[in-house]
Amino acid sequence: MTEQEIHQCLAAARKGDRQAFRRLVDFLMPRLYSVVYAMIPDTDEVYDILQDTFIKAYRGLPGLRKPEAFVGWMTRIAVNTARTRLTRKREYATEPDAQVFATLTAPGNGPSEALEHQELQQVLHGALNQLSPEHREVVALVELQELSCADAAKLLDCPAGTVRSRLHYARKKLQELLAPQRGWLFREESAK
Amino acid sequence: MTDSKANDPLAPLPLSDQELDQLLKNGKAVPPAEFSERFWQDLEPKLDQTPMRNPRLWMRPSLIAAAAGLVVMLLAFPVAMKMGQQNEDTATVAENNQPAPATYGAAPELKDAKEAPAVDLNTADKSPSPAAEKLKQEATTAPAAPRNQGDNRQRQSQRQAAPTQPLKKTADMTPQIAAMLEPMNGQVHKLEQNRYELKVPADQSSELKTRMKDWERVVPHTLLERGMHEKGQVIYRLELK
Repeated sequence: MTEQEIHQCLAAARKGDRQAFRRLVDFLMPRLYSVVYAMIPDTDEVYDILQDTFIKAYRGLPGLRKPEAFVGWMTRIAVNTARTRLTRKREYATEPDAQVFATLTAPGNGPSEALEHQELQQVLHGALNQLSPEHREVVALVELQELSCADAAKLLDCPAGTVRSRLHYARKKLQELLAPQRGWLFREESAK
Repeated sequence: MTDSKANDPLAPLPLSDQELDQLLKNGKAVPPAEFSERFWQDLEPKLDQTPMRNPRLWMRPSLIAAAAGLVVMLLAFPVAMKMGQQNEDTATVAENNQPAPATYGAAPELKDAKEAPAVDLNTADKSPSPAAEKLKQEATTAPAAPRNQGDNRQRQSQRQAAPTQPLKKTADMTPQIAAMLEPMNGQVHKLEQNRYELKVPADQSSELKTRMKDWERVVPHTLLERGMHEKGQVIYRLELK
């Protein structure tokens, strides 16, 4: 979905076009899913959080002052909703979600590749889950959502330096945590 | 911890930045297919629902109502206290306007009583004083605090009951007392309503006390010896209850 298409859909959705809003949901939901899942690795929780996020967004559309910042606005809503949920349930540092996805929808992937992708996610999110919630947030926004540190800082209401610092330590920790899995994680690469 | 790992030759080397980047890029969580399918189906009906009230506990309507009630009560309490105090003050003023009870050594009052013009006590009782009038008006118009309602009602009932007191109390008892004192060569002098001064010879003092004790069964009263001897006479103050 191009930026222009997003703006067109947004304009229509603000006028009450339900189908236009659905197109926005279809476009944004996978992106927000990866962010929220990095924060809370529980599929059911993420589902509820994203439902809340889009409901809040739909009701907030008329008050949206900067349509060009729509994606960031949506991300902020999702992150804040996840944060609220996280505050209520601080015990997410247990086991990550079972990730028993019957069929993964990684584009162009066959069943075996999907299974590998699933395993990769399990390993990665197992490591992410060992980080603090603050570190998970910055990894989710900067590494997964591909925001700049400045944008992530705005979204998280903290200085950009804090985001950079958190990101540095989060990456360092992930590198250590994932080191034992290197042989398995990169076997495909080395085989190729 | 890092140092110990660094010193451990068997510890695996951390991933490089490139390896981690690659892993993060490929390891993005993807929503499951069933998740995506039902997502819009679940979401659409919720969009039509009226916005939920803030589900936070402190925003629940029942709690808001309770809190509002509490605030009103707290605000009303000082006002009620003030009004109750005013009622009490008014009542005190009215009571102070009434004649003070007799005390020992209140000679001037005795003198005043002698000089006081004769008043038809029955009519005097029936016409309420201005203070009593004011009290009555306040009792009927001013809302009183719950704490003071009992007191006000009691006062009001006393005021209302006053004109309908038994005649025994309001009527002039002077002839009756005089008749009682006659065998003892005693004298009675009315000071004011329900208050009399009795004079008996000192030697009749015990006789008087005995008689008055018997009479108390008929007319409740208090007999106080003033302790003033005048020409061999003992003066008593009699107050009918």
